[in-house]
Amino acid sequence: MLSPVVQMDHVTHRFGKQIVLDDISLDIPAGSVYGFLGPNGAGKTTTLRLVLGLLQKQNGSISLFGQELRTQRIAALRRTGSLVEQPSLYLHLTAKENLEIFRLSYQSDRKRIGEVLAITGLGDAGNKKVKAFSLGMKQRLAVAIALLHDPELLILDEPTNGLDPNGIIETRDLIKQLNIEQGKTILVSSHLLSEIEKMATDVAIIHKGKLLFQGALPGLQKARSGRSFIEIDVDDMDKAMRVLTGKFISRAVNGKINIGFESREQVALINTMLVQEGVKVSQLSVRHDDLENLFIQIISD
Amino acid sequence: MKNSFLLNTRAEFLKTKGTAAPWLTLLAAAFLPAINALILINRPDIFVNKLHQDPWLILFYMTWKNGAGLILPVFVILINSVIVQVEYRNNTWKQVYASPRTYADIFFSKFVVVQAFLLFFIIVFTVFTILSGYFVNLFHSEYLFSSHPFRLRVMLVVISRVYAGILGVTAIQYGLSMRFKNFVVPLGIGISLLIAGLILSDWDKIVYYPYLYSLLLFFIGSPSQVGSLGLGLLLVNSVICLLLAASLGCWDIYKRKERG
Repeated sequence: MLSPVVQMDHVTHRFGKQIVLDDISLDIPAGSVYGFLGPNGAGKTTTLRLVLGLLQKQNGSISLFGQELRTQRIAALRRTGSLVEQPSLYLHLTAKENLEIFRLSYQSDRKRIGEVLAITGLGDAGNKKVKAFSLGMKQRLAVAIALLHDPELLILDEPTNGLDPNGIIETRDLIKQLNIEQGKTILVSSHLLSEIEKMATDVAIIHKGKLLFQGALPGLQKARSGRSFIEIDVDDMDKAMRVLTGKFISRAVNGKINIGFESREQVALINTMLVQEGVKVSQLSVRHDDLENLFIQIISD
Repeated sequence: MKNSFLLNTRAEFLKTKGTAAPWLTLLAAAFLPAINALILINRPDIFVNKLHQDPWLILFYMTWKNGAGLILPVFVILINSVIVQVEYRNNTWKQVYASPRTYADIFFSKFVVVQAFLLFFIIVFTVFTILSGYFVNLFHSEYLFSSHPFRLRVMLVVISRVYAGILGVTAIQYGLSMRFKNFVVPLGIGISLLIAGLILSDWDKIVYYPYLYSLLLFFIGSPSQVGSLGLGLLLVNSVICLLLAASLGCWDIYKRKERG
């Protein structure tokens, strides 16, 4: 197995007294599209800023390409392209001038400017001032800057934020293409599971600063199958809960009762018990978690 | 890499393209020569005699007196804000810090740009002063600018001293502009310190007050010199101030908990 490109080990981070990252450990495998998933304010951007050295690490260790970031910052950033939060662009300059600024910093070949403009579909907009760009074009230019020095690792923080459906599809396709055709490792954060699901090979879920899940996407999908539950709609919720308490682990969700699914016999037994106690059952069904449900469930536990 | 600082400095220059920095420099440099030209045109009865002896040198001192004491420090305060605000306004600091650049490189490459604009200001200010002399002559031939030679050596000495005197303020204002996202803070601090310095100009410890060094260094050897001021002490103090303020500014971005 290839060694991780990014490794975070027991990283905790505080803003004042507030803990924003709580003992986070991440291993991002080489060649993966690593989806970093969490609702707004979960700690995704803080994590990415730590990986890029934009925040000073307080606890734990962070390594990129097997080397400690603190001591090898320049070497690590030479191999990393990034887009953190909204695009960082000089609005008074043209797209080409923006790229030229970062080309000089990365010391990459001048021909890369044309190449990355073509990759991101901005070939015709090179001489246009960035202040005249739409948000989607700015986002693509920011990706072009991240690609300028042909990095091995791309860190993209919510790259589809604010894009129209077409832009979202294009960005997603670009990420997949960069991963498959050029073998780049891509760490991409999002608060949309549907987005991550369509492009990631590996997933981490973060909520309130804690890492709730980390692993390959199939692992997450496998976890889903073990999370089927019975959903029961009754006329008297309190009475039904009293009947089931002690026999099943049940909880009320949105006016319905949820119980972990074990077997078909269990479903029949629950129905019989409720009916015998005079509770009218209007609906009883076995539901399978999709990833979205699992995501909501994980973060509401 | 060896030339990475030069390349990054080039990038920093490119960032100022299309900003207010070149215009601010031109306007600030034109302000006093224009005002002085108007005064000379309007009051030849007073100034023809006054400038009779050595017109270029007297005009030069006339212009640089307010230049060194007020316009140059104000320009330095403003130009630092304009150049550093390019990053804050465009939200680009994070991309700069996420580039493979040392903190010293990030700090000093932009500082070189500030210095370049400062030198540009001084050159343009001097050129405009000379042009104002010829311009005045178009209206009043009694002024003897056309028939007198420039006192280039004296001018260069004075300009060099004024430049040396403003270096400390350049570094202080640059450090403040890098430190505070809100441009009003370095602007307010700078203007307040400058005004305080002008009020305290008779203070016996004024040689330890950087915001007045350019004015004090201008006065040394000038016709308006009052009392004895130590040229060496002022120059040393200015250089110490520059080194100290630049080191602190660089240390500040190195130790900062959050960048960009």
